[in-house]
Amino acid sequence: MKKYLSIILLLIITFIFSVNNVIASTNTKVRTESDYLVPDNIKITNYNKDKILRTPAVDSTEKVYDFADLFTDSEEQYLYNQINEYISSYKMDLAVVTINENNKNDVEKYADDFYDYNDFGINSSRDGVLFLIDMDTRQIHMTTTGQAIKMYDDERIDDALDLVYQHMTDQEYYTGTNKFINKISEDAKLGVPTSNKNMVIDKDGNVHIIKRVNWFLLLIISIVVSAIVLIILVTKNKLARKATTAEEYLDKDSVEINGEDVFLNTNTIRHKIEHSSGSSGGSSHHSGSSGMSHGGGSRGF
Amino acid sequence: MEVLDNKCPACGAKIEFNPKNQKWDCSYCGSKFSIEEMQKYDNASSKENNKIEVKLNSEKKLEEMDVYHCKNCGAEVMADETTTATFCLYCGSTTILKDRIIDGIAPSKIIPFKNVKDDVVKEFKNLYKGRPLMPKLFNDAKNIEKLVGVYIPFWSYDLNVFGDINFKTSDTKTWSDYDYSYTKTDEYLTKKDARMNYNGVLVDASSRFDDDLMDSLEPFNFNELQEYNHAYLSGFLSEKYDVDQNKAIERASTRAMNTSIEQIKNTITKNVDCVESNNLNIKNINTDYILLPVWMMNIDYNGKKYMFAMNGQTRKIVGNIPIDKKKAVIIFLFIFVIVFIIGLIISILMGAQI
Repeated sequence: MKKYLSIILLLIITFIFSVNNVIASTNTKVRTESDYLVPDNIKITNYNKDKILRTPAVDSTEKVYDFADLFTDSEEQYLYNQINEYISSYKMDLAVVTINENNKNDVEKYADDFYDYNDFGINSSRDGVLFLIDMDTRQIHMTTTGQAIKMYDDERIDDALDLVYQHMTDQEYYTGTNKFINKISEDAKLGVPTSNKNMVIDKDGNVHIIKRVNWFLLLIISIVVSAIVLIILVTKNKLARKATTAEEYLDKDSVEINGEDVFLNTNTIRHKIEHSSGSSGGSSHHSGSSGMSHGGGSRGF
Repeated sequence: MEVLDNKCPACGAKIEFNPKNQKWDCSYCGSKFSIEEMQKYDNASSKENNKIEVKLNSEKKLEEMDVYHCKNCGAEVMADETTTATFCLYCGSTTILKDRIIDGIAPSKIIPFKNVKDDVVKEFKNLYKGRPLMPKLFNDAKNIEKLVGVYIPFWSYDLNVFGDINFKTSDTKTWSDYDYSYTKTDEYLTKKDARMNYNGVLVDASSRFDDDLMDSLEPFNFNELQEYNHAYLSGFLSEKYDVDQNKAIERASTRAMNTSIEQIKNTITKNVDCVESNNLNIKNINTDYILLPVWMMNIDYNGKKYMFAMNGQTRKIVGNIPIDKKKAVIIFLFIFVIVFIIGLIISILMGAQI
C-alpha cells in the first residue's frame, strides 16, 4: 500500500515538474545585433531595429507569458489548455501576455511588436490573436493578425473587451482572461461577420476590401430609369387636359385686392433631438512597426 | 333626404363624395365635411352666391341651313348649300340624313379658319417627332379622309368676381438647441376683399365633345373675332349648341372662382392653411354665343376611337395619342439593357468584382 502511495506521489511530482517545464513562462532569450531572433517574414530596418531589441524574445509555443505574475501556476496551465483547444479548433494562434512595465508606453504598440517579433501566427499570413494585460498603463488590449482581423470586427472586439474589463478592475485576472478566450471562441464558431464579408487577407497578412457589383441595385436603377423614360414618352402622347382655372381670361388691370390679418393665437411645439452615434461596421486596422497589418482594441481598467 | 348642393361650403369649388371616409372632400381647399355639416351649410353660402343670372348678348335668328342627322349616334351637323357631309364626324357612320334647319339662335361672333386641310395634315404628321410610341396613324389615307373643319359652338362669358373671402393663415418659425427643436406657429385670420373681371371665359357648348379636349384647344386669339356672317361657314361644317348657357356658366364660374382664389392667395405672404369662409360673388356681365374653328379627326386604332382636334386659328393640336404597345415594350427593354450595361461597366471601372 505504502509502495503504491509513493508511486502515485512520484507520478504527481513528475507531472507537476513536467507542467512547470512547459509553462516556464517569463523565460526570455536575449536579442543581439547579430541575432535579432525574429521570424523570417520580418525585414530588419533602421526604423524597427530598436523596437525589436526592446521586445522580449520568447518561445512562441508557451502561449501564456505572465511577466506580471497575475496567474497561479494551475491557472496558467488551464489557460494553456484552453488556448491549445482554441488554436486546433479555429486554426488561429492565441497568446496571453501580462506585463508590469510597458517600455513602449502604448498597449497597442507593445502588443503588436510582441506578436510580430516572436514567431506567432498560423500560415504565412500569421493568423492569430494576442491578449495583453498591461499593469503599467492599466489597459487590456486585443491584437488581431491575418485571418483574425477578418474574424473579429470592431463590434466583436468591443464586445469582448466590454465583457472582461470589469474583472481586471476587480483584480480577477484569471476569470477575465478565461471569459475572454471563451468569448472569442464563440465568435469564431459563428464564422466571419457579415460586416467583413468583402474583406480578403492575402498571404502576407495584408487587408484588402473587395468591392462587388451590386446586382440588386443595378436592377432597380435600370428598371426605374426605363420606367421614367417610358412615362415621359407616354405623357408626351397626352395632348388634352381639362381646364380648372381661367387665368388667361383675367383682366389683370381690373384686379383689386385689399385685406387685413387678425391675430388668432400662437403655439410652440418642442421635439427632442435624438443624437445617434452611428458605426459603419467592419474591422478598422493599422500597420505595426514591422509593417504587418493588425486589428484590435483596448480598454482601460 | 334633402337634396344637397355639390359645392364646397368653404370655398365654393365643386365637391365630391368620398366613399372611403364617407365624407365630402374638397380637392381644392382641403376641407372635409360630414353629411350633417353639408346640410347645415347648404343654402347658407353656396346657392345664392352661385346662382348667376345669364344675359345673352343677341337673339338673332339663324338663317336656314342644311342639317345632317346621324342615324347611328344621333349627332347633328350643319352645313350651308355649298358643303355636303358624307359621314358622321363623331362616329364615322355614313348613314346620315339631310334636313333643313327650322330655327335657332344665330351666333354673335366667329373666328374664321386660318389654314387649309393640306397644311393641317402636314402638322399632324409633325406629331411623330419626339414621340416614338406613336403609331403612324396619319400615313393612312383613310384616316386623312376623316379630317374635317368644323365650327364648334362656344359660350363666352364676361364675368365679374367681387366680395370677400377669409383664409386661415399661419407663420411658422423653427429653431433648435442641442436637445430640442422648436416650431412656433402664429395663426391669423386673413380677411380679403377683392374684385376682378374675366373677359370671354369659354365653355364648349356642344355635348358631343369631351370638355378636356375642348379646354385644351384654348387659348384663342379674340382680337380676330369677327361679327358672325353666314358666309364664313361655306366649305366647313358647323354645329348647333346643345348645352344651355345657364348650365355651361357653372364651368366658367368654377374656373373663374378657382383663379380668383389663387390670385387672392398670391397676395398673402403667410402660409395659407385653408379657406375659412368664401363670400365671393360672380356676376355675369355678358354672354356671347360664338363659333370657333376646329379641325377634327376621329381615328380607329385597335378597335378604340381616338379624337384629335386642331385649333383652326392657332394650330395647336390636342388629343390623346394612342400608344403602340409593341414599341413601348421594345423601348423599355432597350433602355433597360443599355442602363444595365452602363451601370455594370461603371461598377467594374470603379473596381467592383462580378
